[in-house]
Amino acid sequence: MAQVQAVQGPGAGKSATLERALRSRSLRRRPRPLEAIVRLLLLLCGLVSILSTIGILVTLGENSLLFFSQRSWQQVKYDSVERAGVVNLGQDVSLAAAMDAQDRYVTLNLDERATLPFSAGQTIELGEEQMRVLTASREGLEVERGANGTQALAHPVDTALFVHKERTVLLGVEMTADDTVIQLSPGAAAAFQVDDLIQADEEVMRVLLVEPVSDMLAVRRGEDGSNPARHSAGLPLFSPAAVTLGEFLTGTRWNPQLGHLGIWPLLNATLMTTFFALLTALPVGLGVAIYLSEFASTRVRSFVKPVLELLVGVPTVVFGYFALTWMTPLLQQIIGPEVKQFNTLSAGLVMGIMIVPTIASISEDALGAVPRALREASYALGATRQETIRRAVLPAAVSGIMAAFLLGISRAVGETMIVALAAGAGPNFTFNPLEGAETMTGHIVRISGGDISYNTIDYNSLFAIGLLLFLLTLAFNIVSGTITRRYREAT
Amino acid sequence: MKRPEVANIPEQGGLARRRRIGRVWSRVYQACVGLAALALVILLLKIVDDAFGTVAVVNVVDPASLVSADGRSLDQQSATELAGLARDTLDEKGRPYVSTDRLFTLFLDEVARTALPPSALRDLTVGQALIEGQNFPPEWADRSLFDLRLPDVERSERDAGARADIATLLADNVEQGRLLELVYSDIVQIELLESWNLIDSLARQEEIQARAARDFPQATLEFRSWLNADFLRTPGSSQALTSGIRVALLGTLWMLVIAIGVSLPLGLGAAIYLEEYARDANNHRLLRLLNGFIETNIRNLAGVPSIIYGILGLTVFVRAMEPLTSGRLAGMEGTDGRTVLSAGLTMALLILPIIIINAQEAIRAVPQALREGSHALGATRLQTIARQVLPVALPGMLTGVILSVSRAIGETAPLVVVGAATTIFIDPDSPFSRFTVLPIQIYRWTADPREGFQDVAAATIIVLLLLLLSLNATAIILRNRYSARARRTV
Repeated sequence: MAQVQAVQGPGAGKSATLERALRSRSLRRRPRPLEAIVRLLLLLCGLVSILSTIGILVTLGENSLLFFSQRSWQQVKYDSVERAGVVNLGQDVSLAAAMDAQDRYVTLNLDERATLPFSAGQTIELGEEQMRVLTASREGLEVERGANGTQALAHPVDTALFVHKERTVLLGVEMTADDTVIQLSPGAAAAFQVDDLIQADEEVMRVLLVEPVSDMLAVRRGEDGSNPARHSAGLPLFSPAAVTLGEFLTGTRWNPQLGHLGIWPLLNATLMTTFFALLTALPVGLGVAIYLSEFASTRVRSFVKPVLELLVGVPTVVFGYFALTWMTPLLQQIIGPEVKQFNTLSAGLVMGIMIVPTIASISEDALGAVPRALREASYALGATRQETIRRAVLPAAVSGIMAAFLLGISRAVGETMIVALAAGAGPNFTFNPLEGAETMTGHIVRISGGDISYNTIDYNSLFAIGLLLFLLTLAFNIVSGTITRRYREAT
Repeated sequence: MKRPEVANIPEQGGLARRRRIGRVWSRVYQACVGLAALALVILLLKIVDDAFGTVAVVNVVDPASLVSADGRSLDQQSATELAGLARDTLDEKGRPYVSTDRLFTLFLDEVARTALPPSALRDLTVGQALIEGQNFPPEWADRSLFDLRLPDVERSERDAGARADIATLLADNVEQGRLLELVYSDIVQIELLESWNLIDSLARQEEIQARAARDFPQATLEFRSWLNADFLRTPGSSQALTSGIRVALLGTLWMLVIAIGVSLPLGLGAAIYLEEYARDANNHRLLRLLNGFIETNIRNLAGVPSIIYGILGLTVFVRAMEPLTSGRLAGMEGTDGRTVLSAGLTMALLILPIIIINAQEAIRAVPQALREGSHALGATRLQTIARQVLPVALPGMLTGVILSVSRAIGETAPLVVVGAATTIFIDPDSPFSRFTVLPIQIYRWTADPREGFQDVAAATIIVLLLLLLSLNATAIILRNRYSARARRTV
């Protein structure tokens, strides 16, 4: 306002109007509804990207929760106490000598031809007492007396030995669609409690009553929307078990249908392909970066850069084709027929070729960011060019190279089509790179590729794997991004 | 001045050694570049090697054995004679080459021309299904269509009757050329026995001829380019020789149009907001926090593995939004959410961060002086953005769009998860069609162990790479022109 007043000269009345006009419709304050709306719309566009993240997190999280709370059906096992029999003699095992309460060694009346029915870790029962077998041989057993809170007692000669065995619960007698009573194999009723769920074939039943003496269960048929059906005798029965996080993270078998839900076979294959990819990509990529930043003339650079860009532009499925049809036969020629048609080595090496440009370009940025003074100081001390690179430039750029390395890992872990084509189908917990093994991403593609039915354990397991994959790559990306930003700011 | 004598400095030998080591290392660095270039060259060679080469093919049925009684070849026979051949020709096991199902499908496609799903045909009569002017015996008018399509029970009386009836309808209503095509594709059938790649075909020609003469005496050897005009025009097939990528090409186009249509406005909008409005000092603290969050979020999204987007698409677009993506809201029936629309939306999310980041960079490169000049002339912010910033930033933004298009064209994994069809022969004709795209075909064909399919995959790869190359060339030209103009402006 001061300026406006300063310029007012003759014609003060006119300038007063101007002043009023400016005061009421100051450019700063003037409401601009159109601009406000546009601005809001543009903000909404930005928010869509957040929606995308939220979508990923909610989708993966929610379905993973479903996965971990879902029932996976497992065969019902029960502890059955049976007379220890000798297989090829068809007779029972009994004590060959009397034992008193302090004895820790059981002598058996076994024949030479008999098959030993005992193994270490088993629980045996003599009269009222239970013992745990420590070692077992043909002559006798070394045992821990008074196992499971029982009392060590004296036993006379010829006392019969009983063994505890884990048996699966089978349907004792055939049942029709209308039966509401299940006859189980002897002793199996102890495995059930009222209100338990049982699965037989596709049908789910709920236990209403347990009759331990006659091993019968009263059930309600067709629970959980299943249909009552006829079941033949000898059918194994399944009971629900929740998937635990611990089992998921430590298990070494992956077969959701059978209740084996350990991530390690898939994770291990992912780590192996990643390892071979980085083993190829890191030295080569670093070499390319050093060459481009320290040696190459502008003309060479103008040729090499487009080549690298072309490699970046090649779709990953093409690399998958390359791995399966070129790299694997090549490996078979070099190493020999023990290289399987699908193997993690071939997938890893080709993945390495794919990652070279990524590592090269980030490392080159890092090398270029090393101050010139450092090189000059090194030369001044009498170092050769090579020594300058190795002792001065590389150590100074190490954080940037680290970032490239981490980003490379992240890309290798998330890479899908190469491993889907060349690494093999079917989880396989192996450390042999010449064998096929399915990675996490390969598994997701194979499982979802067919017509997958929703809300099955296979379907829900996709999300648990996806979540793990997401968290892994996110962690690598964040650390890598932080490092990159730090040295960018430093220069 | 005399140069200092260095001969007796003890390090001198060491220096030579150090220099030598240095030279060796610089060779190693060069070799790394050579290795990367070599990998690319081998990759391209391998693809070309597979896409061309000698093939040994044989006719399952010799066309000479199908001449008519008076000696006319297949081409000269009438529609009735050809329909008769389709009806009567049996293979050595006594089964017809053209199954009753196949005949019936042809009848539905060519004669009945009804848009109804097969389940609804059960109730139609021949009279209802056939269009005016088509020929059929009048007494058949009330027969139900389903009655015609009897099960393919081997040589049963009723089957023979049904076959004869359909063949009559075909002979009366379908042109001769279409029937000739049927006889060639289903009876004569060209079978691929073996395929050799290009280098072998050129270098070991005699060996191949000797082998073919020994193993397949009836076969003809011919040089084949798997990449040819028919390859682009025909849909996929269960035979390598007749497979094409028409459906996949169209699927890729549909998917791209949807993906770009959704993500371009969103991405450019977000970039303009982040560059022009978000750094505003007037912003509320909370808003600034939100802006920072959007920015970090976009960087992180760009690094999420593409297959995660596939899982997102499967849950959100295929399942949760099924009524929309399956087209049920638009009145489609009998479809599920695994449509090209779901694929396009998934791909839109995937390329959104790429578009945003590139557009941001393009806008950032616009000189600040331009904005200040515009403001000084009294333009509002909106006018400055629309008339000064965007026109200058446009080529840069376009480059980003092209780059994201090439990313979208090559992505496979998310579309496999979203549910691209395994085998599909029908062109996608609406956003609610089932679909397949080029990279998916490459994936399926590469994994197909049958003879010839890897060659088909190689030919598809060439098409895909050519597409990508032309897109990238456009991007590079745009970038060069843009940077030249930017230099002039500053």
